[in-house]
Amino acid sequence: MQIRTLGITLADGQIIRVPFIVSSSLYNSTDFISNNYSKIDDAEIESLFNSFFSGNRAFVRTLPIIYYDDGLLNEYSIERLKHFFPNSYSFSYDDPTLIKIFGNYTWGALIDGNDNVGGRFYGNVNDYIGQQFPVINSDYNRYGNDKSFSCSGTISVIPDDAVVNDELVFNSEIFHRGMITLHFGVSHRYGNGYTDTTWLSFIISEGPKYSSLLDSATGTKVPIYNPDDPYNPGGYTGPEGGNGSYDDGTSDDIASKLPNGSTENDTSSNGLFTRYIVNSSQLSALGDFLWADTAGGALQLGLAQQLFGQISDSIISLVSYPFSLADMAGQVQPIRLGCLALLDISEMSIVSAPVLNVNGYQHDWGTIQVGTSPTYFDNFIDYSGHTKISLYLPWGTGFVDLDPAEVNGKVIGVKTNFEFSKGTCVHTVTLGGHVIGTYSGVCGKQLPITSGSPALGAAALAGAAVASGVGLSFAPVPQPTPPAAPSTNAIGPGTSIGPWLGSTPSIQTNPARLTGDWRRGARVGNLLSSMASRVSRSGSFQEGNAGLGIQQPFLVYARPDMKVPKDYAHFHGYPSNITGTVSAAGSGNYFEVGEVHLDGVPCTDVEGAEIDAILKGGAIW
Amino acid sequence: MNITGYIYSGEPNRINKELELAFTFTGKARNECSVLNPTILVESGNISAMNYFYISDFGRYYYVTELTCVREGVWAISGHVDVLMTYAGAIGSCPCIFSRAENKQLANLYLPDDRLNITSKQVIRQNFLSGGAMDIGEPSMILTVAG
Repeated sequence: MQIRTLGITLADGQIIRVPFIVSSSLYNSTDFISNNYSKIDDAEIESLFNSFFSGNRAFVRTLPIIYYDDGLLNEYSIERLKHFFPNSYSFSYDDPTLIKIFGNYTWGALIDGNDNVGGRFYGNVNDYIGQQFPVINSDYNRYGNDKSFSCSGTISVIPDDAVVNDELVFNSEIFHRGMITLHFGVSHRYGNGYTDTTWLSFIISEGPKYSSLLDSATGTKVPIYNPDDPYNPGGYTGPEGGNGSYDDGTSDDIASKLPNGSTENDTSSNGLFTRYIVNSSQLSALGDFLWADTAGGALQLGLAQQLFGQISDSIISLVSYPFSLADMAGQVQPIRLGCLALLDISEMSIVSAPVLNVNGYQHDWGTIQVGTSPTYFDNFIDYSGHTKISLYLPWGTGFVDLDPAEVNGKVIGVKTNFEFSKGTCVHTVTLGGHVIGTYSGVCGKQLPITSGSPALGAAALAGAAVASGVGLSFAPVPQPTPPAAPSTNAIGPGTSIGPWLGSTPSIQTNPARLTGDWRRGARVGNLLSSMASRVSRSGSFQEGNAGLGIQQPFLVYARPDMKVPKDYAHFHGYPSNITGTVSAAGSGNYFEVGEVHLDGVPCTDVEGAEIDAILKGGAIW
Repeated sequence: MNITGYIYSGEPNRINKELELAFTFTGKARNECSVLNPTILVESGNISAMNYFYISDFGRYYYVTELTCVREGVWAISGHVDVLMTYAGAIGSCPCIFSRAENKQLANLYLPDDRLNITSKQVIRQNFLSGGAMDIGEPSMILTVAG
């Protein structure tokens, strides 16, 4: 056999060099040639190679590079090589001088153990071009004319700094990272019953930083290991998954379909209700308007019940938000309670406030990468059952759990849509253009317009009004106007509610009655109990804790602490689920097999069972 | 039959064993001789250091299971076949599904590893989103009224 290297120019222009073996002595079978050279499906090999060269990931691939050759690379074998590479990659034969190799091999006749030999080699790849491995020529004949032998081993392309003073400083874990390792195995049997069973399989293993390896060919150092990797040196895993259908089609960017709250269905002011952004002084004026002593004296008995009901009922909600809404303020308008303008009793002026000019609002909290990419441990611990990833969403939503399998290493975003009638909000969590969760919250605190005490006061107010016969008087500012003419709608002595039903707050009663304490009515009794029942609560503090929590989303990772003892892999091995030949375990490496087919092992049943048990229990190649 | 005695100090479950040649001698089977668990009589000096041997006639390697000095210069060597070393080459070519492997190129670390110790100690980390906090400003109130 001869060692050659081939250079393969990748799509990005990089050249990867892979050692391979050219052999002529093993393939003299005519049937072998006519049988399309290989018992391995060529299409599968092509697919595997495509997947490797299209991504910068580690891989373990079985590559049967088979040459029927005179020992030299010729046009025929090049054509054969091309068969394994798609047209998107150019192929060139090369003998790089900067790439060194390290290898070991064993070979021997399966039957005649005396022929088992082995060895190691390392050096510049050019030193091995044309060199012959020991060729087995066992004539031992146990089963008629059956002759059998095998040869297996590894060849690794190594970075230059793995060689110190012409000696290979071999560390199977450190220096193999980023290397291309070619595991080769040859099994050949011929003779009675075994003609044409020659096959040669290779497994090329390649670490995560193969591009760095390429750099090594030009003198760039190769990163030895990532100290953050608890496996030290660790690295990426081999291939996984079943080449599924990858049905990752999706509709248009669903996340972009989210309402932004600013324009759609804008009902901020529509004739049925109006939203005002009020401040504390305006709210105080409202309170005075409803309850202040100065107003009480002006209440007219016949009007009290109806007025009070109308005023309070006209207030749909009063919601406090823990953030400023100044940016959403529209035109400043008089605050109207139904058909009444809110009057600042103390100032005798109409209270105005900016109208909320949006129906809703959307806040974009931005994005965050969940963990690192690759993930923190880059193993199973990063996922459910071990790692918990929670997303805190403000305003009563609290912590929601995210599925690590869904979000690990990816970027998620959070947007919150607010509506301003009830002070609710909806948080939308997106992953790319996909919505992966929506969660409701309550950002607004419903403030009680009335409560038990004011209700009682209102009842007293009514009672007082009834007893004293006072009327309610409202005066537009700044100049009081003469009392309006009594109308048929008058419900109390000296009171007209006609103007209340009009379109302007021009109700006018005797200003002289704008004095007195309505609470005095409590002393005159005769509560209108039915009035109390009409006083509605428009809110509750039970949902009003929005401002008490952290008002900003954040992620919380809870990860276990992984403890990896030294040489863990040599005692236990890492989980695997990969098919290969036993020799692919690598020289000196521990392994366990889930299943093994003892094809071509000329042993007894008892021996076969023992081999099976040992390999499943753990062995070292 | 020809017997080659070795001293082997490696792991018994190692397939490709590196053997230290110690003795070569001829012997004969004691009575009926099992190929898998033979007992061979040999004439030799002190071979008590030997723990491994090869019988070319059987084409098999053996662990020494018992070494008896029958009398001075005569030893009875009992052994059990080492199927790994004997069939090392063929085993290497056998197709298999690795369940665990030291070779990281064969590993899939996303598969659950029930042998890996994980402490209950939790490592907590918190991160805000890139957009930061809202511009809170002054709290606001919205009064919604009919009309």
